[in-house]
Amino acid sequence: MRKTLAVILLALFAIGIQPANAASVTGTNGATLDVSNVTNISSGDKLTITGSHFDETVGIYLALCKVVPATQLPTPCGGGMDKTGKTGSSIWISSNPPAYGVGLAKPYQPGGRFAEVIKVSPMIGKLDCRKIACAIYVRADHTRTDDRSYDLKIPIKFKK
Amino acid sequence: MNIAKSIKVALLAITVGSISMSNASAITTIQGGPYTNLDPSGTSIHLNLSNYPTDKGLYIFQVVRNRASTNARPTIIDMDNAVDVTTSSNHADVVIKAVGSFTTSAGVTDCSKVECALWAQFDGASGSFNVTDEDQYISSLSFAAATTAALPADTISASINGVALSSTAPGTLAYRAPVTVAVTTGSGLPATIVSSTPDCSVKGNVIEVLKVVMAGCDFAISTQGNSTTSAKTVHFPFMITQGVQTVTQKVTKLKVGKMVNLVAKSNFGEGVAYKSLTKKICTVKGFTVVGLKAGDCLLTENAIGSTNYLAVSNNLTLPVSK
Repeated sequence: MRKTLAVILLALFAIGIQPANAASVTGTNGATLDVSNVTNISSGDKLTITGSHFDETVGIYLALCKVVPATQLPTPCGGGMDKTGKTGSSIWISSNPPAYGVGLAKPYQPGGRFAEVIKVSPMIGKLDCRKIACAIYVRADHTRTDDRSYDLKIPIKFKK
Repeated sequence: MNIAKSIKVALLAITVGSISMSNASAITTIQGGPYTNLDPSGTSIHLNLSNYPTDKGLYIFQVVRNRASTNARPTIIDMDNAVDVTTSSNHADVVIKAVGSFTTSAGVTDCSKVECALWAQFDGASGSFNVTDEDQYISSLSFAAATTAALPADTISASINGVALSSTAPGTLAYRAPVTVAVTTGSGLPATIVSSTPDCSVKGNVIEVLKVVMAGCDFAISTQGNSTTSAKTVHFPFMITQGVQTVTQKVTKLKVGKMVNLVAKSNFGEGVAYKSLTKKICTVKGFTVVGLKAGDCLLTENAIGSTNYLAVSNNLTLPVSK
């Protein structure tokens, strides 16, 4: 059932229809990030995250993180950096990863696009996103950790 | 020679090498070393570039110095050890491996018998290979006496769809139009392809443009060498063009009164906007079209472009039947 819903949401995004509780943000570089649901989220919910017009030469991480000031590296995030591709709660997207990342990082689709599903938990380590501000973040991957120009975020709220 | 002594000699050589300055007419200042007492089997020379162009890359080659004039272009160039310093490269420490002898179409060059040097010029990726603004000899090179004869270098040739690639005249690649490179080596050894720039990617022998940039792309194709041939790397530059954005319709005809969905997105994910030019025959809302009466339904289909790909502006004709 959940898989069906995820497929329907991906299809809706693919044709440009955004559900009512979805949200979108566009960065100064033209990259657009969309999240399928940003309110009343339960633990274990799957959020569909889509992007378009991203710079395909810049690898990114997609994750739920604590909201930090714009000049700071978004951290901590659920799932950490996931250079192994195993945690599933953060996603590495790169069309030109280092040699060790080939097969782990997911390549962009033409047009700087991606469509991913992230299963979220309100807990990031000991931090509780029901009590603090959290957001779905995109940031440049560990090859450009200190570069804040690719950061995008969409705040989400969990059920209390 | 022990390690400490080697380091001392290298540092001394770097100091001596640093005195050798770039040509005054070139913009980029290139300093580094060592340039003397080099190991003929291969010595890494470290170079620091400043005042370099930010819109074009530079090639650094080991060459036979052409003494026809101060900056006369060399005619014998060791493509094996060429370094493409792209706009995104680390300009603070560019490393080129100088060798005591190398093989070109002119034959074997023995740097103990002719004057070899390091040479810089614009790279070919931006189509500026023939622009001489950055031409300069960085320094002449001198090698310690060779103890063993160098192996002949491997040969590498590459082609795309049967068309041979050139290491000097850039080919052309379009955004997100992957192509397969066929590589042949003289030794029969396998070759690897590596993108020298982040704007292009390689998967096996398939190369693809990820971003349209003025500087273009460069791919290094290398063989490892074996007991009879030495390793070889050849650089192949490419200019980059915008990709062709397409809208592929599955619908070819309409029926009166029946709603049909047209394609909502282009191959690059851009939303497609439709407009009916024959409103008495068909009407369109969003990407849903309905035939109103028999005839030819003429629609415009448009999608915005970007720096990476062209916009779409097509007319689409769908016959409407009862």
